[in-house]
Amino acid sequence: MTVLYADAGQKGQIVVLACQRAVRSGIVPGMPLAEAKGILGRGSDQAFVRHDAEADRADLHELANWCQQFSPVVGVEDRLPSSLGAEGLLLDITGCALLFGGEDRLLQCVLQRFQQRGYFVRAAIADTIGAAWAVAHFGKERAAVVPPQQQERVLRPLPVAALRLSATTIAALTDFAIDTIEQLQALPRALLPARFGEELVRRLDQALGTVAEIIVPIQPPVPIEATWEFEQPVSHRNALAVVLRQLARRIMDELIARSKGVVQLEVRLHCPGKQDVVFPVGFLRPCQALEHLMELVLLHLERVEVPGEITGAELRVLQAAVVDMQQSPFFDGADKGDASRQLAQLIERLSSRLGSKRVVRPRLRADWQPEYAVRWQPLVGPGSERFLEGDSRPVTLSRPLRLRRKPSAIEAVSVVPEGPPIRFFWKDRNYAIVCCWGQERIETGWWRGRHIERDYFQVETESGQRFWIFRQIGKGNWFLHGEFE
Amino acid sequence: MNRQQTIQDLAQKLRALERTFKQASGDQLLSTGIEAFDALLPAKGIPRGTLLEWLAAGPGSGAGTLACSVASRILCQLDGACVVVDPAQSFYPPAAGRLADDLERMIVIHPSNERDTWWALEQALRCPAVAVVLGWPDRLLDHAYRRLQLAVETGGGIGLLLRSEEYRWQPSWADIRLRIEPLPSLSQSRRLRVEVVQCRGRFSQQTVELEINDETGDVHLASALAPATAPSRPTTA
Repeated sequence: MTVLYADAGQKGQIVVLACQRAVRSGIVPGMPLAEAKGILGRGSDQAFVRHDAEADRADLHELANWCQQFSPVVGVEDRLPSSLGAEGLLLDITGCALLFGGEDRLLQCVLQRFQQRGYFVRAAIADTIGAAWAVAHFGKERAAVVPPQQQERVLRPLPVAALRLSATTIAALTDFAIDTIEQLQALPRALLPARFGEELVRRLDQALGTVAEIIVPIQPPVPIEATWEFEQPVSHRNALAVVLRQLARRIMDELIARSKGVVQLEVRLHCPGKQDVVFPVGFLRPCQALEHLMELVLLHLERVEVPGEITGAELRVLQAAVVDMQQSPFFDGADKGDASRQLAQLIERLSSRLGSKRVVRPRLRADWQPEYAVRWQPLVGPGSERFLEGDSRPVTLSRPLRLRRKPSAIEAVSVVPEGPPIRFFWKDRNYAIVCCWGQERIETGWWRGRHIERDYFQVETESGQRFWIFRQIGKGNWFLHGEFE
Repeated sequence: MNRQQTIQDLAQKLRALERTFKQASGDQLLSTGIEAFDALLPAKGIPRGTLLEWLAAGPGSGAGTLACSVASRILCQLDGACVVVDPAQSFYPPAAGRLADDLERMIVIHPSNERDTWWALEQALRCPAVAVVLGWPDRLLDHAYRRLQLAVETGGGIGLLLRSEEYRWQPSWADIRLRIEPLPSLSQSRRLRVEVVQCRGRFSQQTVELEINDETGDVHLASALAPATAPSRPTTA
């Protein structure tokens, strides 16, 4: 469960947002943080995180850039007086729906792509920004298309908060028992500005389409890239390295001019008649050091297979970020004390040569099935930002230090059916068991993939070696799953 | 040369050899957290920049558990990360005891071949931001092993290499080589014998018997009492 909190002046720290599980447990935005902690208790799967509105805004802008695949005009919603920060994206899809096979399909496509990125979103298509916002926030469906010229009918039953009003205006309307837009429309229009302010009429007109409202599009970032076309195709890696260094220098100059460092880089090598060789280079921290970047690029180059001669090379910055520290050492080794930088460089080097999936950090889960009790989180590149909720408490029973990815079939003998083994044979060797602990039964459901039914035993052989073996319930086959090394 | 003279010459040679082991004190000397184990080592601890080789007498010997215990103790004394190089991809962190208490400091590497394993070990050992490197290299060529030893001296951390006993008679560049032999314990606590096979600059065949409590992660000197008699058939507990 995740709860976001923020400082609220004299009120102290209050809850500003909570995940669905936390809300179901009774957490309400606006509640004091201490009360929320009291309700949730001291569980291991809870995270109380300080709300960072600026980071939200930055992420929203990144998403807005990504949404230009749906429309060329994408804007970020202005910060509303009644909310903590902008939370919506506005897309002008005039003429774009045809490319997706209609508005319904476009909407489904948007939802699906967001879901693939791990976001749960609500979306609506309407003639006006106000109507689309109202239906997306207060409509019954997660995704809805308001038919042309039907916004008034759709808006009528919605609450007045659907008009993007300030908290003061909503409170004033509530005092007059005006809860829905339909009730609001029944009032004499001339009286509204005097009683509730100009904002109310403007928002109502914007939602109904009688007053125009435009989307201020975000400025797409100018890509940082450098290309090189060879006069003659080359196959020698040294020649390629020289060119890549020149391209990297150009990119670094551009990044330094923007006071940024590279986080994700894509290297593309053009091979005529063959598929381009493309590999990403990831960094743990924004990098402005040419030598380090080149070291990683060359480490990548060592393990990729180039199918033929190369006619061109291209370097493109996929992600850049502000550099934490820009001071560079005057002498070699003058900043050896910067351990975190050294560690980051080590991880980047390892990930570049071995692949990001081979340089990982373990994340523990409270799962009885040993194979699922550990997840491996890459430290660089795709997947490095997963599992942010932290580790959950693992099962505390005795487990072997070496757990085989695939249990090895063994032959074992037991005196009684379903009883503990007295000896087993593995790798042409006979192990006599002198002591045995168990049995520990582990069964899983079909919904987790392969059905597991196992009786585990920790056994000690006459020479003192310890193993973790199990018998498949029903089938009676024995497997060695790990060694207590 | 008379007998007295011969003994004196040999003693002098022995002292000269002993002096080649790294001399360290204060924060340069790290305790393994096991008093009896420290006493086995010539410096009564592990100097920074030392490579230790653990030769396991067969699978399931307890060498890895003991090495994890030592690694966790080193992490308490040194700032820095713990790098685990595991080509077999079978290292299971939930069983690593106190080493798994702070996973934010742990980096696990899964190299796909022998050369990558050597390279990853060398890179990790050479990095000053790494406190301890725990690795399961299978085969180590002489030049690769030498590079590891130079790397650990440069980095200043501790390298713990876990290998099979079959490599005992092959040349080694490790500062200390230990042989770990499991002993029947007939109880949840495991017993194992640690033998100093080779220690640079010292002729040492000393052994110590240790007991590991898997539940608490405690390692201590095994009691000198005779082990319980093995039951005639397996028992369940």
